[in-house]
Amino acid sequence: MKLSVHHRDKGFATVIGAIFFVLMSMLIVTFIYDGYRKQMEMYNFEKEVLRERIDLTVTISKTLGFTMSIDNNGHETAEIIRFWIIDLTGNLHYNYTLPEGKRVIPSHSSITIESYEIMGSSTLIKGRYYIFRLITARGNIIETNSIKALPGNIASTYPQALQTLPQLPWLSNETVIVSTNASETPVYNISSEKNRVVPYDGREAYISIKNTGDAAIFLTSNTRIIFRSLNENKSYAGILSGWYIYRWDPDKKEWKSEDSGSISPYVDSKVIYPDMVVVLEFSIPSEVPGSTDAKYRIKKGTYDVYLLLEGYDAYGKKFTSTIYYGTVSF
Amino acid sequence: MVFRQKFKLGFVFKYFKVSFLFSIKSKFGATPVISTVILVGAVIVAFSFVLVFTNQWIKVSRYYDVEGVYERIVIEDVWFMPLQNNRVIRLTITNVGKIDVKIVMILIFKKDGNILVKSYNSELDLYVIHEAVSIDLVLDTSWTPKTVYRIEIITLRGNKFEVVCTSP
Repeated sequence: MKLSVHHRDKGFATVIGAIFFVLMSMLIVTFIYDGYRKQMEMYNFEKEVLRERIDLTVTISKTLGFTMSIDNNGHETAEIIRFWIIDLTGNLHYNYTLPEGKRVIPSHSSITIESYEIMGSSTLIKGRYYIFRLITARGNIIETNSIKALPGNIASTYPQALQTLPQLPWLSNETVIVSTNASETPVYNISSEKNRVVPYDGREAYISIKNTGDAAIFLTSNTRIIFRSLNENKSYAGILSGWYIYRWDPDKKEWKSEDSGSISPYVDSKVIYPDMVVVLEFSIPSEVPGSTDAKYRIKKGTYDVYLLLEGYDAYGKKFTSTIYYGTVSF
Repeated sequence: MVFRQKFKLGFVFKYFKVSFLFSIKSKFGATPVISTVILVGAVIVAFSFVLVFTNQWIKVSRYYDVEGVYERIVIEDVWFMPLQNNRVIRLTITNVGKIDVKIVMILIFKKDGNILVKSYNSELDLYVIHEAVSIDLVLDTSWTPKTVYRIEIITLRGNKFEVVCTSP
């Protein structure tokens, strides 16, 4: 018996087999290429995620709203998809969407958002602790340290430089707030007079502060009030020159001066005990602080006002604090 | 007699030795057409099986492995809610990837000792988060204050996303 393979049959089957093989090869090659393409796409995405660098600074205002500064320090444009406020004291979590037009931050640029611009946000509750958090479209989470909701306190993702509470061992941890409670002080707002509120008009500035820390503090003449113009590129500062303590007389229903004094490089403030409220007097803000030359004096306009408090506490540690007071126009 | 012996031999060859890939044209009268049809049919069937299998394998691999790299979710927030005697945890999850994500399982561990507190699987019933969408998942789990928890989210494609958090 002789067995033979017909070449024509074999050839036909080979052609069909070859077609199938090519089909399979195309499937596999497409699959491998697709996988490679997706891997590369996600590899680039991961690189972008890692290169994204957003910093957040939240400054609590006098009215317990806040000003939020978002800095894109990375090389990629970033999109903020959500903003969270975590009330640690009350265990409440709130999330918001940033206003249209302020969600996308080009690289190496910053945006500033006021709390009233954020739809649905309310003021913070005084004395509670909060954390602020941003979520970017790439999935990065940016979160500040926790801060107590007091005017002037700052929460930030930056290193300690911007923190209100100094962390260095030779610096005091005491805190001070601008006192805005009319039942504690006759000067519950920045004023041009020392014993009542008169809208500030560019003369000597009076502001009351309250020692909210646990230790007594002394302020020195290095304390300043700073006015940063929002209309032009100018700043002015006034030097701490005096202090006043008032007591409410319930019989006459008026504030009585209890004690006062002046401050110079040789005389410091009277000790300010915890919970004590003191009205501080500052010289006329000037581009050359301390100068009486009229050409340097502050002019009419709108200003961001900061207090730079310097001194020492009852434990011999240096005391320094920057408080954002708010915006003033005159 | 000789013919019968030959036939038997051919039969043996046909079924046990050379199978149907060869035609025994002259001996048994099987036409080339039939053998060709059988051969081509066999090739088509065999390759169809291979093609279907390959296609299926590629489809599955593409879904689980290739598209799996597109999955990215971020657990924006874990809120240990003070409701029902500390029995509610709310997770806020956003899909920041490039593909829809199906959650098949959520595991909650107490970090101290890695104790599984609760797992969710069938309840979720393939919870889908579409691309660039956020969802809140409210989980009925009792939590202990001041405790560190690790929460793992497992997707259908086998990716795992986790977050470590402390209850207030």
